[in-house]
Amino acid sequence: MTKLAHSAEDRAPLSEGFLRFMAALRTASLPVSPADSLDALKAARQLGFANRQLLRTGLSCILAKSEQERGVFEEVFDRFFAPPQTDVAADDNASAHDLPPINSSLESPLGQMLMAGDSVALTQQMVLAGRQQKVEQIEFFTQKGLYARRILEAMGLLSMEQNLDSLAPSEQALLRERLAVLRGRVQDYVEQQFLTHADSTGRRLRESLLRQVKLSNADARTIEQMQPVIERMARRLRTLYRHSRRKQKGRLDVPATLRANNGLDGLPFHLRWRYRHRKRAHLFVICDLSGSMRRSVKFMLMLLYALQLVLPKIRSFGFVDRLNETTDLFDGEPFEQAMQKMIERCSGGSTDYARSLADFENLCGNDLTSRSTLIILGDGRNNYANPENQRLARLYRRCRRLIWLNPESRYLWFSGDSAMRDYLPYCHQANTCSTLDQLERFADRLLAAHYSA
Amino acid sequence: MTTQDELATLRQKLGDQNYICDERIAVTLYLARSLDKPVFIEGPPGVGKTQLARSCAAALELPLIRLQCYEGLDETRALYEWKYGKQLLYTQMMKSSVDRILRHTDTLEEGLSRLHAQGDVFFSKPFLEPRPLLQSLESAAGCVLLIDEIDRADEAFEALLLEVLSDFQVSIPEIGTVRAVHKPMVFLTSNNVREMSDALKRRCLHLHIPFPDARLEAAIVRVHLPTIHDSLLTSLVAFIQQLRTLDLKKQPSVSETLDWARALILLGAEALDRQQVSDTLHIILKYQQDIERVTDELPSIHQRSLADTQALFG
Repeated sequence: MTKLAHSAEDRAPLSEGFLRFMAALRTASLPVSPADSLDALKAARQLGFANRQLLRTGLSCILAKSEQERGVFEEVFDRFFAPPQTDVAADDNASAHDLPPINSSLESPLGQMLMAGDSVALTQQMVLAGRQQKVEQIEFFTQKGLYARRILEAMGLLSMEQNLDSLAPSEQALLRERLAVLRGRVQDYVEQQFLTHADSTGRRLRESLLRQVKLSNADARTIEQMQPVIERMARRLRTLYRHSRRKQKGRLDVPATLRANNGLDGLPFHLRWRYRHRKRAHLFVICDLSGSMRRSVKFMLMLLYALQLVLPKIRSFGFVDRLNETTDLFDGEPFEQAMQKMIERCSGGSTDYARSLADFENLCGNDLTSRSTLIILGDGRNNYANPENQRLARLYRRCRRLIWLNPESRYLWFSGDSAMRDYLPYCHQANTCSTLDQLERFADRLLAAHYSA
Repeated sequence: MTTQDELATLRQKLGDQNYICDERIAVTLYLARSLDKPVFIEGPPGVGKTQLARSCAAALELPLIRLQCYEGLDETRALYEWKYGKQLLYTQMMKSSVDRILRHTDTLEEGLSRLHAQGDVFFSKPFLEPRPLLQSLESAAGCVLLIDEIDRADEAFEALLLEVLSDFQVSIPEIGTVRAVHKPMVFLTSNNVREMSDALKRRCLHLHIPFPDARLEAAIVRVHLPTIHDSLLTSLVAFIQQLRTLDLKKQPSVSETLDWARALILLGAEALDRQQVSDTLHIILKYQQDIERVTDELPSIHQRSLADTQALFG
């Protein structure tokens, strides 16, 4: 590797706390490599641990590689290095320090600390107990109560409670009051540790579950959690396909070739090519916006717009009974608002596929070329009306690919008022698309097709 | 000397070069020097990314080597090239000495072995044309290397940079590996035309320079134009800050603030009056639709900026 010449200082074991901080950063999904943590340690030694602000600034420029990552970094830094609060007296109006130090008959050290209102010692005890109980290994939120109890027990709660009876009633009441405050502090401390350390296995598990939830069944909270998952998906796909841009060689570039081979007496040894400029392809997305479809539509559009950098230009259309173009809504406006407006613009009576397809044909039938891909997102439930599939047939012949995505599973396509039976022959590809996993697979194939063409 | 002192000196030195910087920039530069890492600077155009490299070079009294990136930049222009013309010319001129070497040889093998004994004269240092990257590695006293607008270069070039940036060395097949005599201090700037690869970012310290806040911007203008009138300075900075909150096609940058201030001083302004603002708006705004928009809202923006002046500068 690169820097093998470590000084004696570098060979000293990394301090445990520093390693835990790196682990906390990784948990917050910052990609911190071992080389990064070495650099960070060197930087920290240079900057010293005395000036917190300086250390934070210095480490952030090493460990955070973008503005967004810097935000995450600073949050984790502040949480990790936040001093835990155990000032038991803070909630009492009369500070515990003002109280006369009473009752020396209480043997338990915890009891004595509580009675003395010694918050510094309590904090130290709490952190020590936390280390002893390995609170940083907490994984699931269900373990929070368990860890809080273990910490309190390690601080000597049981032995204190045993000789509680020997106290006068007024003192007992006071002690119980302060104990309740301490209990709250310990819970806060565990919560803080959970937020910082809760191992990424917990997150991965949650994410893999989220990816398989049926979009149409998801509740509001789940939907909220899905958005970062979609962003991560888009990021992965973007980096995957970013490199495959502009690979097509075109004609020989004569002047450049001559220049490149000047040194070879003009023998054309190194060839230079002109890049072929591809005409921009278009992606047409038609969305069924009837109530049952809205969620699936939302997630798909979200993914497609997040992929805008690597995809051809998107034109979007929404319909219930009539079809409207909604491309302009997604121009610069935040996605959520655009989506809301799209639904407002297109809401109407009962679903009518035939009329909407006719609208689409009138609106931009002529814009469909052999470079266009047409995606229809709908359940095909046409209320037993005539599907008029010859319209879809015309579109099918005109575009390069026609893809139908249906949130219903395949065996439901041929039941009830579904018109999928009539539309299916005129789709190059028809998929069930009801979970994030399926959505990602679809986007992946779409991009692959785009770049292999 | 403690770290704090060194940071203070660094800021002082940059200040002497008329570059006002905040703590974040100073810390990043300090770490870049002590860890020998390149600095990757991001930020909107015109906030002084390139200027930082220039001032840094001047402050450290090192030569600045600049490589401007563009689409299609390749290693022959960034790294090195053989001087083909010179090679051809020399082979022509040295025909007679080659003849002398080959005199009295009977077989082809003998001739070849004699030629081999001469070494690869035509592929040696004197025939090598060093381009910025190689220059920076070869410079004896160290230097500041500025790779400007890296986001305009192709991804292939980015890959080429990886070797240079992490090991400070390049491999030239005919000669061998050239290592840096003195590790250069490297700055890369990017305007976010495209996202850079993680591999590149990983090798660099990351520095984002945003638009400065009012106080910093006032200090910057003051340093460049010491003669500016106080009331003009504060109201001008407040106005620019106010413009940046609008949704414009291109926001006015620090360099445009400076240009504007210069223009207003030339026009003899001592405070910001509305007529003058609307006459000189084209200096800070570069799109007609931005100018129209601001002209429409000028009274209210002006009003708000006046109120802000009080709040910002007391």
